[in-house]
Amino acid sequence: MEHIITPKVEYVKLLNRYAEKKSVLGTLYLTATHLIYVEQTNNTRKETWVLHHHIMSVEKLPLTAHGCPLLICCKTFQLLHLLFQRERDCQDVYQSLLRLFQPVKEEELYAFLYNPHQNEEDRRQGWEFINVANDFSRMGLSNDYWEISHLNKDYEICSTYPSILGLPKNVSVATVTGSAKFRSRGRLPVLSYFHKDTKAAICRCSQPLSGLTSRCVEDEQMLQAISQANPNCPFIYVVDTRPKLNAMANRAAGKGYENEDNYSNIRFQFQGIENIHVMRNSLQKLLEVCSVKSPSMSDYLTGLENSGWLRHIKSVMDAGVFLAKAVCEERASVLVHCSDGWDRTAQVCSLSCILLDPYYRTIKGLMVLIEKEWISIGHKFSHRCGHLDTDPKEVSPVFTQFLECVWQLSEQFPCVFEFNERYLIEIHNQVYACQYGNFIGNCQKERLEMRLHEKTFSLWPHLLKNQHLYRNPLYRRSLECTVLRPSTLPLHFKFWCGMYNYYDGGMHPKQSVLDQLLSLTQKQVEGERTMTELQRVRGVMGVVDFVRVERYLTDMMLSPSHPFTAAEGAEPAATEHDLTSSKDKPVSVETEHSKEEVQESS
Amino acid sequence: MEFAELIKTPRVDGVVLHRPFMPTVEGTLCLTGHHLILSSRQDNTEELWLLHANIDSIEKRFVGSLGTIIVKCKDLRVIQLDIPGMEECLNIASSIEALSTLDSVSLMYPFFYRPLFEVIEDGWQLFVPEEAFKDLESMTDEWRLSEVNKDFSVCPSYPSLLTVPKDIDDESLCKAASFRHGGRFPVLSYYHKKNGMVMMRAAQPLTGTNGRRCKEDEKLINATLCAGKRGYIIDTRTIAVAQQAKARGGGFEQEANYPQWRRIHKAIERCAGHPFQQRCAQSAYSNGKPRSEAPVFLLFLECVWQILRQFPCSFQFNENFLIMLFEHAYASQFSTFLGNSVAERVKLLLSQKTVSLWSWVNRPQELERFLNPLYEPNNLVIWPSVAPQSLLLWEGVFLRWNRSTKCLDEAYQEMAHIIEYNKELQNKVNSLRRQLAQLETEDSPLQTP
Repeated sequence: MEHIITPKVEYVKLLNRYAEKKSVLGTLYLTATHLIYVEQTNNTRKETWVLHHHIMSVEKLPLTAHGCPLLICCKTFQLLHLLFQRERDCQDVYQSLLRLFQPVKEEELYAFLYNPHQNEEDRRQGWEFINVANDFSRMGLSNDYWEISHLNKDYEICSTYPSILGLPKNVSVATVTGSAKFRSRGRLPVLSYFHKDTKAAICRCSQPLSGLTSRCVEDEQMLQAISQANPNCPFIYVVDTRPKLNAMANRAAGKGYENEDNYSNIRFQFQGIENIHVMRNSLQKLLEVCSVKSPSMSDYLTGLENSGWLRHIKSVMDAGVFLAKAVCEERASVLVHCSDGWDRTAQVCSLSCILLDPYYRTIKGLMVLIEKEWISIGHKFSHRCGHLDTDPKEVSPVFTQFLECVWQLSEQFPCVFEFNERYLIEIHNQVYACQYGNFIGNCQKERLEMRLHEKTFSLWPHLLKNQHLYRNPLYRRSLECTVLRPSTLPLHFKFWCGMYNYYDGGMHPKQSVLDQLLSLTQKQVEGERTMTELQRVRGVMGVVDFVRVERYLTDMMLSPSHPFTAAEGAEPAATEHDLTSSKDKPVSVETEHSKEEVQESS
Repeated sequence: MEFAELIKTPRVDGVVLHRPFMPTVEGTLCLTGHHLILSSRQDNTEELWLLHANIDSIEKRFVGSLGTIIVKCKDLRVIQLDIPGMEECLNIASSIEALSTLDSVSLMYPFFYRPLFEVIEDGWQLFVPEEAFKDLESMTDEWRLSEVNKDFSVCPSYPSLLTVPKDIDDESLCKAASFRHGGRFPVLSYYHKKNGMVMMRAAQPLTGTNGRRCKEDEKLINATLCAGKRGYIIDTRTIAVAQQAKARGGGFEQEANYPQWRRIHKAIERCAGHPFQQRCAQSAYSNGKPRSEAPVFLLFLECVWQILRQFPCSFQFNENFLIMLFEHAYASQFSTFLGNSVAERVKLLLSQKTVSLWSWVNRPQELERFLNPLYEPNNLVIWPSVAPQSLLLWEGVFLRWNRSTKCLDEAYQEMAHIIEYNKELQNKVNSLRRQLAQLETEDSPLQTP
């Protein structure tokens, strides 16, 4: 690869944050996709793999007596502190990484090289596995109130929206196009979620171009149509997720928020979630706290407080809860927007979906939700994640905050999610890894132009294949019909050590209840199979030729590998619960595939 | 003294009780010598029985003739009682105040409590120093059990039997005791079987400003080390505080006098409250009344909880057990946490007149609630992380009354269920296998050709 100045440097030290004496010498390799650090001590070989796309920043620190330090910070919150003996090596690695971790062109992203050994048919099926249209059908669309519209099939009404949209039934084309023209970037009000029980809907859009005085009849009609699509409530809530001050500032620029006088039967509400820049700075402060070497308790608590991070998480959660309450308690529809309607709006809409509908709390349901409320409707993943070397002011942890909100919920409701914390962390890692095509690009149109479905693979089948790692053993389907009513008192928001200090293994509980329960669930499946088989054998005992039974029994009781498990592996039920191979598999992004990739390129 | 003198109004009707996350209850409020009771006298509502000893502080408010008493409890619960009638409310309030601050230990509830359960195992006989010493003897012969403090005259706050190095006679112990604050001379606290190392405990030495020393104390401490070995003296005060103590006759060990020992200061702020206080909605409600006690025992229980959280499979007990201990340490029908020393407890005749907490806990029906389903015994030393990120707010205690625990309880039940179900399943599989094996032997002769 032309960007790799030096593919291998020996005698590099990886500094251990907690015990510097334990730092040993190793060899650093740069491949087309990964940075690999190999420690070889006596008989043990320890490898640290870091995907280039996971790198957030590379920094050369001032020279010390021990060598040239290089600090690598990752988007997965991993920190690598390397010490080179020669300044030249440090510079070469630094130069190479700068070019490797933030490519200029999309085609340079990992997903365009990566092949999980699937054929074209697998690839096609993989991309079709999660389908937003199916989710509309699941909600009961099209029905008397809402329908699926193809008006945006060429992305002409709104270039950042998907080709299919949920719209109020019988709304005229003129209303749709008129309303789109009155909204920032044409992001007109569309359906996000239809709540079957109450007939209330959650809709989303961008801010209106109302300025100080402008109004638009079509936009007013559009909101009227949304209101009329709900037979159970005479008004709709219009929720501006921004702080009032921000929204008012936008009015001066010809944008702004809805004037209650111009729209009939709306109830307008601000929610006060801060913008992407505030969130980016907040995360940076949080990460500074996380990376302090040995902080005192008050350093940590003060730092956590000053970062404001949990305050922002609470503001997102508060807004999500407001929406869910409006829908299930007041049976009122809600229209949500922020400025462009692709950051805060995505957070709040998807969170309220999780609160309202147990489906989105399943492994597959969360995939659908992310596909629907984030990917398809134009959350700018490429920009927000900084996949490419673009404007750093566009980067913001909006999606991370959503995942954290889900985690905070799972702490309050340990039995209602089908997945565990590792699933959220894995999704987070994959968003930044660019190993699969799902999170590349900023909207559907862009993805189509990049021909991602032909050139890259979808993440979801890969996650589904490994779902045994992500199961929550405490998940109880019987509880699934309930709407979640989380408490948003400050005392319920905790620092997510499992995410932000993921790589500081020493901080985590030394015995994992999750692992313990997962292995018990696996044992349970095996035990139940063995028992069924034993009961069957007892039933036929004495009737059939004993020699056969005896052989059967001997196999069963003496063989360490349960023959039943092996024999029935093909059953659908068995694959669903197949936990036999779950142990000892790494949870991180660097799977066996990544390693193969490197072998191929070297 | 008669409790009746303190109870100005024993009974008020139409009182409304407010508790977080529970429906309000209207009923009759009764005051007894030891309890505040509120009952709606209906079958389906829960009654409130609150020990006066549990009450930390009360606040009164009036709106017209309706009085409100806010009761803040030592278990961090806050309840509100709406009492019609200003006089009744004032009477109730002053009665509660008097009853919750009784000075005499012998008026405490444990002296009046009669157990409704059968005592199977007497908790007072649970810890027998002689028995514990037998265990030690099986591991080492370096120690002996001394009766020097038999009548609590050498150290009033120590128990009567103490484990000390074998080669130190009682006379030396007395001299060492006179050199230690409160007579608390160095005694064995823990013997580590794996390497024979020990932990001993003592009060500060009385070196004073002129550096007094005591040969017997030095000998006693050195007797615990083999030749060539070194040890640590850990002073849990800051060096500054230790220095100041000299002026009051206290002080710390001079290293020259204890050459095999290195002194280190691991400062623990004695009067500090809970380190998470800033993040906690409520903390102890002491309303200015002088408290000689810091929440030392609670801090210990919390440390255990923090370790339990990091090693969820290494403790036979669960969080409920720790919370139960916290509750009973502050207010209880049992007397295990009454008094300040063995001497006091003996004097109060606790073991004859009252019931031990352990008598109640050590019954199968109670123990079951406190057993950790994840427990897998192992002999390894556990090393918890002390990074700030690893230390969490103990929600079970500090948020106990501020949140609904329904979902968390369900999760705990589910976890216990999974573990229990697995055990049953394994048992069934094993018994089926046995049955089949038996069938096989019975059938074999018939099948032999």
